[in-house]
Amino acid sequence: MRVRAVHTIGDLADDMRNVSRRAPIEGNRVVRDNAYKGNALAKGFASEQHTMFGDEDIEYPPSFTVEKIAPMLWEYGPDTSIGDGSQAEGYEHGSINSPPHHDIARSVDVIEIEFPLDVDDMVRGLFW
Amino acid sequence: MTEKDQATSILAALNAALDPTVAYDLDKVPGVNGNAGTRPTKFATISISEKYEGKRRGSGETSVEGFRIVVRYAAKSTNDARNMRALTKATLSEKTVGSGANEIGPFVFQSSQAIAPDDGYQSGSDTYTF
Repeated sequence: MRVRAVHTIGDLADDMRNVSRRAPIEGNRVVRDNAYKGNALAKGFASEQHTMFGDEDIEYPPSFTVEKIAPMLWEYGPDTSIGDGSQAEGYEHGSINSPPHHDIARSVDVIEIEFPLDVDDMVRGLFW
Repeated sequence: MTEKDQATSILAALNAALDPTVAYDLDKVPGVNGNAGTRPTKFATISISEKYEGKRRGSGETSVEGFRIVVRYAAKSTNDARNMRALTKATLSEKTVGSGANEIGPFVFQSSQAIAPDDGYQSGSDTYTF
């Protein structure tokens, strides 16, 4: 008769060591990816606005940029120093003569759902 | 419930609250868009759009799915516009409008734009989702 015990406590110990090393890297990757995704969406909506309403706001979509503020803190949206970025307030909220375009709010509609899911996946991925 | 029905319910509620100021659809403001009359000294406009909501939970049964409404306040005086903002907030924020099958809401505040000079008026807007 033979008894054979198999355990994977060593794997768990390895994971515990690796999680603290990988979490900041993976966390930053998730935040960065979502910032780029949000910016691509917002820029796409802004381009759509341009095709629909003529060429006076052709310089608006190129003003959408992504930048890193700190580790795991990224920002995207129109840069006021580029092209028509300074007109973002009017395009986003509209004015007395034009309806709001909500390019940024519409991108947030998507990101606010997908970002938490990506964070969830990232945390699960730290194990195994 | 169609977007048109939603707009009708919201305009009815706003017009009751904003009295004597009038809330319009963007195409119905007097004096613009070829409408008779002159542009009022104070008025509100609304615009509605559907919003992306992702996959809904199996149990998430609602009569109306995610929409966004923007209420714009325009007046010759900044204080008039501010009053409209306050009255609109009291009518919409965290509340429902309409009744029975036409009830929609509750409206959740999303963002706000400061009241600033705009084509001879002072105007600003609030965005709600419902």
